Amino acid sequence: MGILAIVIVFAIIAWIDLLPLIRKRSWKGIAALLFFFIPALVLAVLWNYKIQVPSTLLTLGEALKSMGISYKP
Amino acid sequence: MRIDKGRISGKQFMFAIACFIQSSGLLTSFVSGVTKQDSWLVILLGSIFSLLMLWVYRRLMIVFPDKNLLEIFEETYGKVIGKILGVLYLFFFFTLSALNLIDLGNFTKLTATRETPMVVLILMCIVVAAIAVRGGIDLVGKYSTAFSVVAVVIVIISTLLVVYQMDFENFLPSFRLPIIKYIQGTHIVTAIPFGELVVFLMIHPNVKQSNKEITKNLFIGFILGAITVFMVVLRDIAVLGNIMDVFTVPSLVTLHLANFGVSMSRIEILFAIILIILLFFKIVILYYVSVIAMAHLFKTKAYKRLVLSAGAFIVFYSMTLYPSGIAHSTSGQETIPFLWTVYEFIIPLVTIIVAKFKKNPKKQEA
Amino acid sequence: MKKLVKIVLLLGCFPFLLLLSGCWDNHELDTLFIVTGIGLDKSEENNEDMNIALQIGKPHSESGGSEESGASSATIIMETKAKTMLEGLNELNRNSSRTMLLPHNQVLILGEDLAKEGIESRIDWFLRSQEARLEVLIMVAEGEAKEVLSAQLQQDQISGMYISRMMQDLSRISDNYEFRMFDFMSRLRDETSSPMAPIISVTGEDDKKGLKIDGLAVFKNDKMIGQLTADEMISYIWSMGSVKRCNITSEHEKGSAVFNIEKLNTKRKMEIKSDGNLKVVFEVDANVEIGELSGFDGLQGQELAATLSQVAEDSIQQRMQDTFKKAQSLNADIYEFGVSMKRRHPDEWEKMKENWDEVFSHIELDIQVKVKLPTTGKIVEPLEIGEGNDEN
Repeated sequence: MGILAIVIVFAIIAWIDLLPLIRKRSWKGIAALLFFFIPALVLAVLWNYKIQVPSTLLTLGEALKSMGISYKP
Repeated sequence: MRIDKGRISGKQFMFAIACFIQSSGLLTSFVSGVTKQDSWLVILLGSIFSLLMLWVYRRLMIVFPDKNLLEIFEETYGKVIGKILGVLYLFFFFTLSALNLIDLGNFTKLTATRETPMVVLILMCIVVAAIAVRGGIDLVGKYSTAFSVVAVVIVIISTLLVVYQMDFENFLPSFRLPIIKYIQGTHIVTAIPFGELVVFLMIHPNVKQSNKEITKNLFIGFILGAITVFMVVLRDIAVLGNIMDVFTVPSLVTLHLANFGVSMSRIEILFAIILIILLFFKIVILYYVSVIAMAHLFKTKAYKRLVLSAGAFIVFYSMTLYPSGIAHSTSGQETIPFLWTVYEFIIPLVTIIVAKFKKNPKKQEA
Repeated sequence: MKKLVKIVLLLGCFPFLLLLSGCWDNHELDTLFIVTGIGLDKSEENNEDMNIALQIGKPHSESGGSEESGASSATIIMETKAKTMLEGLNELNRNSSRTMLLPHNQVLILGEDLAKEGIESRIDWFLRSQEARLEVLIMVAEGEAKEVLSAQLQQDQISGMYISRMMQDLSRISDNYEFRMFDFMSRLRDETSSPMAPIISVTGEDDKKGLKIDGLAVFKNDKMIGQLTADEMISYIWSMGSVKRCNITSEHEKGSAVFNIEKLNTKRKMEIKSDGNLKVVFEVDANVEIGELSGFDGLQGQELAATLSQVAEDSIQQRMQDTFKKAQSLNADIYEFGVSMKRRHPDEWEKMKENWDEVFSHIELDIQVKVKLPTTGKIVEPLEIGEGNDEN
């Protein structure tokens, strides 16, 4: 059910935005769109199957903490 | 290269800044958890430090009136480093968008729609936001004036409604926390929410304003916003007293207690709606800035086509950021301020110094 | 092609109309039970559980039908047994045709036995849940909470609303009549203050019952350890700040008087004595009117006024002192002296806070009352029955 919704939504996005870009042959635009479209799709699928994705902020936070740059609670 | 040809007036710019800051009246728990009854002091100090940061932004806006932040980087540091910085800031903008989206989702879930799943709430918000962003900056700018004024009115009314419940002794004992807490508090306030104003450096090329007006708009907008947040914190401390730091959203509790007469109680939902609208506005700005940055990095003018994909990315990215509200607050209090300060203060400061240097190669430092 | 896009977009708007209006969260009115009062009692069968009673206001269409005098009530009581509030609620929701709607709840009544046992483990839900409001009044029932909730009152159909209105009236007299969950929570969190809750009791019989506030329950942390009588409650209210309208009856060797206290303000000063003990000074300022007089023969004018002021002052002082002694005997800081110390003398507070119980029991209370008697009512002196003057 969830995966179906995801496929539909991303297909709609592609239809609305990607097709016109391909028609205009603006390669840079397509690159930009895909740069986010693909990761979004991947994250969406991962979310649907409840797979945990490491959080950028938490990892950065840990890195800072290990360097001693943080406030103690 | 101007990606979005829209223009907004200086006044709209000013109110956009004000709205942006005012929406943080909801998120005072970051600070109140650390400095409790002295939180008002920390907001004051944070405002003063932010004025310093604003001065740096002003310089940048005056020296580069037609260039947005990423363009400024490319001009000052050359193409390679400029692009690298651009990518770093892209991450920053998207993360800010995602974080504020979670806040909006949480707040809405807490007040209005308790059972709707988070994903649905966020999706709906993003779709509406996407429509706004696709409309370009002039669509976005038009709403700022009204929202900002409404926010001020709301804060004043809510304060008046609870005036009889205020106990000014709740501010005592003052100034007795360890100094590090005040430093931490001020840092948090400066980095989140005041420092997020750095994103306006992506918008200023679209604003019709002279150099003198830049100063006026920046500072008045900021002060308007900061005063609103200050009043909110003052009000919350006075009303809630020693249990303020227990609540996840103290302002909401204060509003719960605001009632006049039996029939007019529970009107806090009205206030909640306005606050939701403010936060939504902030998200639209952040979302817009993210998309513009994206378009710029890939050197394409077709930013409107990127809006939906960026939106989808923000939605699912935001779901990965924090497993719980507690992780969110802890992170916000302990590590994020340091990270953000780099983006909001250090890099802009270095940039303006380097830019000054480049423009005056004869003025060598002894 | 463009037309097709437009149609699709239009159709696409409909799900949004539905979702944005919050229909995921919709509750239809006739699928709800509106809770107006919650009562928690200790369960006789086992120590872990408590008896939970919810007072539900019946929707009008149902109670309007059978209006026999006094026989049908506008409320129903739903009960269950559970260890915690949330479990109880879940059970009730599961086993009834409707969902409980809690935000209109007016009052939380704790059974006396449960209060004495300690309630911290029972009330977490009230603090944490979004649906339970912090303005809910918290009270202790003399006896069983369920009795209070099921009492069929003459004056009002729904006792929950009645109680709430009663407290509202009282708070017009003084802001210090604030006994909401919020205030309870604030005192509970503070290390030294004693939370308090009004004691409510049922009077009368059968369907001519009434509810009365009979004093204040005094808690130490989360356990009820004693109570103040109704009179002591009034003196306590005087001690805490400002009061607008009150009555006080005083007896004196020359006569008795009933005074109307127009306005009373108490300011407190904390002083640290040389021996390390604490002295608190209450400076009481009152505007008093004469309500009723009898006796006081022979006194007139200035002398009468002076005597009456003195009588009033002594009365007020005596009562406040008595109540304080009661608090001291219970070793309960009901006046939030600890909080005053923390705010005004934080350094000394650091030293005292560990042994606050000790310190509290040695507190000396000095009450200085100043009464102003602006008018004497319609008549100047009490009616004296003249002697002599018989005409026949």
